[in-house]
Amino acid sequence: MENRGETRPLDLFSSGHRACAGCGPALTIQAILRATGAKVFVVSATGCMEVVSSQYPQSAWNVPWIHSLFENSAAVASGIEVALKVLGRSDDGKVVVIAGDGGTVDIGMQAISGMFERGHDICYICYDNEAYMNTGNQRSGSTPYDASTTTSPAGAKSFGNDRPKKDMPAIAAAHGIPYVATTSVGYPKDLTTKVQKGISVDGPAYLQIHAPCNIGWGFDSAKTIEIARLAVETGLWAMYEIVDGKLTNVMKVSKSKPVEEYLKQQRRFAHLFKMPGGEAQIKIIQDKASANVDRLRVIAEEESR
Amino acid sequence: MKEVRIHGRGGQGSVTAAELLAIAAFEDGKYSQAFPFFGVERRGAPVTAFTRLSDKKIRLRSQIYEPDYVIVQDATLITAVDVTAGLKPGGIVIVNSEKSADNVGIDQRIDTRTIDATGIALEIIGRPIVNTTLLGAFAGATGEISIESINKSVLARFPGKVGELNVQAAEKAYALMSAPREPQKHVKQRIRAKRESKVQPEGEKIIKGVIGRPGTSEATKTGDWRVFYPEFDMEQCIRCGKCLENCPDAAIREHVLHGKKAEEAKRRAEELEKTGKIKKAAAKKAHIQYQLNPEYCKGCGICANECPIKGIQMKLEEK
Ligand SMILES: Cc1ncc(C[n+]2csc(CCOP(=O)(O)OP(=O)(O)O)c2C)c(N)n1
Ligand code: SF4
Ligand code: SF4
Ligand SMILES: [Mg+2]
Repeated sequence: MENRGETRPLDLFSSGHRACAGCGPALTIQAILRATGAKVFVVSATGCMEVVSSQYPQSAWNVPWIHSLFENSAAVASGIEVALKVLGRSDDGKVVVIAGDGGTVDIGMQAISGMFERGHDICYICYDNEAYMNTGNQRSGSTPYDASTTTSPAGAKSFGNDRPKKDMPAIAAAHGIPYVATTSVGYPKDLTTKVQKGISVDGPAYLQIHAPCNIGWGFDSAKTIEIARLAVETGLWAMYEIVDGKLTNVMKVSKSKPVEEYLKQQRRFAHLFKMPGGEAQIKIIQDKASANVDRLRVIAEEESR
Repeated sequence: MKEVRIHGRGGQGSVTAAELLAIAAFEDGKYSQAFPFFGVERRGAPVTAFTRLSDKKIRLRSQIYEPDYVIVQDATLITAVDVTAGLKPGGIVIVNSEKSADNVGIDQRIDTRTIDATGIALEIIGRPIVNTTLLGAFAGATGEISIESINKSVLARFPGKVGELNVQAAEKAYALMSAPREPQKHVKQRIRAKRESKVQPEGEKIIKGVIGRPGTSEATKTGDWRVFYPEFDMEQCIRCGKCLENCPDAAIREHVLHGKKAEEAKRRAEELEKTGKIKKAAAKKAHIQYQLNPEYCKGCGICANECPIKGIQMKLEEK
């Protein structure tokens, strides 16, 4: 193709995909592939990003790509990694899984655990939009406390999801894998660094990327990045690495913002500002955020001593 | 029995419109039915919803292939989808457009009514949500349903202020559409459905179950999903690249000017810098241009929100 002075390389995740306008996960995939470059084999679990990128007979992927089932992306990736080894083609590229939070922390857990246990050289990336969005916003184990979803609706008898967000990075780390990291689509530099570390490490890596979904969470499509940053600035989404079992590089939230600033912009938390008792719930969320920030800071300080 | 097919884009409330119409029909003492056509498409992509209205019980459960009425929520759909497919002789098509019926791109032999529902919705509701406005237009244009029942149905779904604004918008559309109009000159007749458009590149063999070529989603021009588009102020732009970096649709390109064009841009920027109109950072990189690719931009507004100098404005797309 003729180069008309465009300096940007070919997009590895092409335009024309059917993600909603302002989709955080779609932007996450753009960023992941810009960080990895073309030498990857991508495995996608069923979910929004798989569906919007592969409307038959089109594909948005400009890298080798395979769709697994909802539950077995880690198993499919394991097979590909071993096959590449047997064929002596491991240098052709790294196997990368890109799956949603449902496909990761809920139904995919068993296959992931096996993949970690067997020590495959795979970088597993979960884009965390905090619910089952492809099927219309059902709660997942990754849905935060008090979020209203179609299966955890807020109403006269409920403040929404009454369970805490599952700590998947800790579960991954407990397998003793060499690299675990959390990052956010709102921090592209951090995301790039961590994806590059994730694919260069020898052995299993696990990344969880916070990726706001304006449709499910209920905010203006222009605010995807703003919301992603607010999650970090309020301490509700922590960014850190766990390298060889050691928690390091915890992103410091210097002057953390009150959680209201994050919550009030989203329809999934709107009930907290209207229902009697909502204030007490916001306090619980604030306490959790503060405790989380403090806990990570203390551990990080200990580790660095 | 009368059958209505609604063409919209995901997020425009087509399914809600079909349901509100069905509920309004109950209010008028009729039998009714409403259901969507399910696809994987997201907000902005073409979607279809259906309503049946009848004085008798409705036993039919199929999709609507031969509608009496078609409502088109977004005129950009006319080139993307065959909106008049199967329309019954004498059927009416109602299109949300500022244009006249003859200029909206629908076969002139079809009875077409246009209404600027987006304009009405923006003016009264303050958002480009057109479904309730178009229901008012439907009541006015067809007389199949009373505006009172439409209003009741809207208020039941959206109580309070939101509902009232929607009712106002519906009533305005009703008044416009039920006003006397020029008699139709067109011959009404059945129009055959167009063939489905090709998605595979020309000459490509389709192998079932396998997507053979990478990057082929580019054949789908998602630009027609948008309501607003970003306008770049390239003079003020400091070339930080935040808009490129944050576009989920890779719809912004960096373009480097060379030779004479680059010099020209530089000279102009230096002049502007001297008069203090633009920053040094902007002047230094005048040879770099950011360009919007309108074929794919979905109009999310992230680029405008992230631009640190607020040099990108979201403007209403003219359709
Ligand atoms: C075994 C199985 N159960 C249910 C489904 C239906 N299903 C498809 S995608 C999806 C949810 C995906 O959620 P997540 O992994 O969080 O990705 P997201 O859609 O949010 O991006 C479900 C339940 C399925 N495909 N397979
Ligand atoms: S529902 Fe959410 S995650 Fe899915 S495509 Fe739309 S914005 Fe993206
Ligand atoms: S409005 Fe959204 S889709 Fe369009 S160029 Fe800006 S970021 Fe990209
Ligand atoms: Mg999800």
